[in-house]
Amino acid sequence: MNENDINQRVAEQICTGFGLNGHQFRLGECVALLDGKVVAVEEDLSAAVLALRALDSNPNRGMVFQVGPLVDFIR
Amino acid sequence: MAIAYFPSSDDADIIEVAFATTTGVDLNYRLLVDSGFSGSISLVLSQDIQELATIPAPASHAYGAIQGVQKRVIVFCRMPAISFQTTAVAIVSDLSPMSLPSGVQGIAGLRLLRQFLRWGAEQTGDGSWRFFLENEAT
Repeated sequence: MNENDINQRVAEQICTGFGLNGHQFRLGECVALLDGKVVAVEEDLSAAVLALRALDSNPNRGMVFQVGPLVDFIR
Repeated sequence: MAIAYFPSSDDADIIEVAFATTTGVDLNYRLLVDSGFSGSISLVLSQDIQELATIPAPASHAYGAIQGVQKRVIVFCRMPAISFQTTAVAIVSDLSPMSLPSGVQGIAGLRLLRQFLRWGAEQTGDGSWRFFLENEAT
């Protein structure tokens, strides 16, 4: 399992259960992950991206998302 | 107010959005306006986006014209003429089954449109149509 797979699994856990290891997340919060660990929780995506890149500048590492259902409707 | 206008084609409203790239030079994409797609994403982009600056986002499950598990990324887009810029979530997918108009590299959805003060289409004096995006005054 690579870093992206690990982050995907953690993101799914947060987005479906709104919690991880006892920490609660609110709908709409923006989360940055690195190596499967939450490294930032921000109010908007830009801030989460900045927080992630301050820790690791590799564009292929980490993951950023807004807490909510991982479902999209394209009519 | 700052307003950007985009000439409409006979069968579609199309906007032009600049995306940040890995080289630091923006790349302009033409995007079909489709307010009918919703969810956490603002954009659907073709798979040919290697030059764009992206950050991984969780894959999602899509329903409708695109179905199944979809790769998603964070992208950085802007419209300098109206001082608009945003960080957005995009699905990256094979768009060939969607038969997009020629020269169109993706779709802009409701979530992107609603970042503007106003958006819509209007008929001009010569009878043609144009799409507009209005941003707050700078």
